[in-house]
Amino acid sequence: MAVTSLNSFLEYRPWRGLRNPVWMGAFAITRESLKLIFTRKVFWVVFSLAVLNFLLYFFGQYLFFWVADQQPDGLVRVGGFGRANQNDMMQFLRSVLKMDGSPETFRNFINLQSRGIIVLLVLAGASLLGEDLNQGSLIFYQSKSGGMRNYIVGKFLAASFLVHLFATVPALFLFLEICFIDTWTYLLYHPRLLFGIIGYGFVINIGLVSLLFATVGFFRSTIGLIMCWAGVFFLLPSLCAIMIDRLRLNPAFRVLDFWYCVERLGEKCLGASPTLLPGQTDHSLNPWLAVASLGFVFFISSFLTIRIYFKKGVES
Amino acid sequence: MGEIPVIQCRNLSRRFGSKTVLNNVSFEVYPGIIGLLGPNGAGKSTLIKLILGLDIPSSGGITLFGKTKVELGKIGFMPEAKAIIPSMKGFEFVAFAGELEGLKRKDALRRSHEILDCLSMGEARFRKLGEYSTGMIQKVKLAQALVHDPELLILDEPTAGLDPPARNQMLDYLSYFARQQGKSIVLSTHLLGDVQSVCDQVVVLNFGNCLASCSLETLVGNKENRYLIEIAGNQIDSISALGNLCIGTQDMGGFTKVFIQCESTAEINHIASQVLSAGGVIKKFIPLEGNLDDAFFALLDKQRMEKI
Repeated sequence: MAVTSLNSFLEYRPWRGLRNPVWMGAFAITRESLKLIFTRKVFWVVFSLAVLNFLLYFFGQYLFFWVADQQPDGLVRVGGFGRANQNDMMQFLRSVLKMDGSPETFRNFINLQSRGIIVLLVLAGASLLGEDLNQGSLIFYQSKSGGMRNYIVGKFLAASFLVHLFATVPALFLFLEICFIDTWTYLLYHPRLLFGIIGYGFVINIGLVSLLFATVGFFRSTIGLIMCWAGVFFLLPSLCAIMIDRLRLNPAFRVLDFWYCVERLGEKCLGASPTLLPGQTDHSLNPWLAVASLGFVFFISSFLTIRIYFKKGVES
Repeated sequence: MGEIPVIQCRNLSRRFGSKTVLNNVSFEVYPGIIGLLGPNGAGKSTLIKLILGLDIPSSGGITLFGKTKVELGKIGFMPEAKAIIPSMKGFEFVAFAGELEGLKRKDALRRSHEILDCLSMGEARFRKLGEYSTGMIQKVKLAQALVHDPELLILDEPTAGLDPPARNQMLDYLSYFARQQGKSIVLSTHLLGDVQSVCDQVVVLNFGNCLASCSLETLVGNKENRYLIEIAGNQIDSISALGNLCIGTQDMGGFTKVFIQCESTAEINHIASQVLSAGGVIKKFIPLEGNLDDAFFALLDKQRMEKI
């Protein structure tokens, strides 16, 4: 028989308080997952780069509208860099940097920011989800009242938060900046831009997060994830480029390039025109094919997510 | 024993393809500490997952507290796997478990400290789980199972990897929560000593079959008119000659331990002569002392003999 004295215990008190609805447990999972990501150095490195990019666009747009307000056809002083022709500057900001508040501005900005998201999810995704698989923690979540449903929702929200923190929210700030600098009628005349930013954010969100769930479920480790995502984001685009530009195959083969499809949908959301080099023909993919590609990835990823995570939890 | 069984299984089966992991398991257990015993691959973990509703039975059903729908909020589960989040501090992890069970953040934190105090975790609760020893991890796992004050605790190998003092302490906690706080505890373990120390009832599983489901006393404690005979020589005929008196056997290589239960001590001479006439050689004939090890192995051997 056990020998420790029971007198050493402090009294256990039954708990009879009120409980939150079970689904609110998902928010606790989101909070703890984000805390986990925020403790990673890689997050702060990528976040810093994303902030720098945001500031570049922020001040670029500011410069564009400021120059536009100067005397027409005059010379404008640009800080300590001397004077520049107003038209040349506007042309440079509009055509080269595309920092003029147009749909292309937001497309380019979100595209750049989403590169950061990809790097972040690849490097921190394994700790967001893979650790639970490796540590056998899924059974911990599964045995709680919300079960795996709360787990999946909570983790999805955490990853989505990161996507919107890097892409959608700063893009909305840039949009608001124009409203402040120009006039609020900008908002009335460009509602598509506003909804396009939100729509593009959600397209990236659904595409990347569902892919993250499925690939982490398979590979679990950061190395495996890097290999897989390198294939999706570098190998497939290169392969499609060779097939279409060199071998002159049907442009519909771009449907294989998942990231191109996401960007194409973003373009459609924002109403931006595709970027073409001089003399390049428009090989843009039919948006419905892009939708089909994203839908296919989402469907397969969701299927694998449910299969891997639910099964793994029961097995552990 | 209470009127409503804590767990009631009726013809419970679980098959994975052609492999039957649980085969028509039926038992009912009442409030108290219930030992779930069985060798590796007996079906204990599968049974636990079915109780928790994490898996679906192929046939049959389970009721918990008389209800067919599993209310996870009434159950606290301590998994065998490490199942921790290494970057979290002890008290945060327990509070997090509370939040997953619907406790408000503030309540969960307060409750977490209460439970960890109760389990004598002291300042260690402020350290990250990744720095914990096995004993501390087991305590935190117990705390996360208790944080929402469940009626039923399901503990999978709670003393695994613990040194003797930590093991005794863990068993003390279990006794305390069952006897003084009225919780029902299912203790799944390989350690028969742990079961004998604290359990009131036992369920013995082997190869997916339920070999016994009764009180611990019934299984090991009723020593009256129970004897152990060690038989050499013609063992098979001797055991057959004993018929229904034989309640279990244990093959020891050169001889067989046979456990018998007779009506009265007057039968002893008759039994001895039956064995001898069947060609057996009696090495030992002693009254049986209550020991879970013997009873457990006897059950396993009896099942093996029945298969032969």
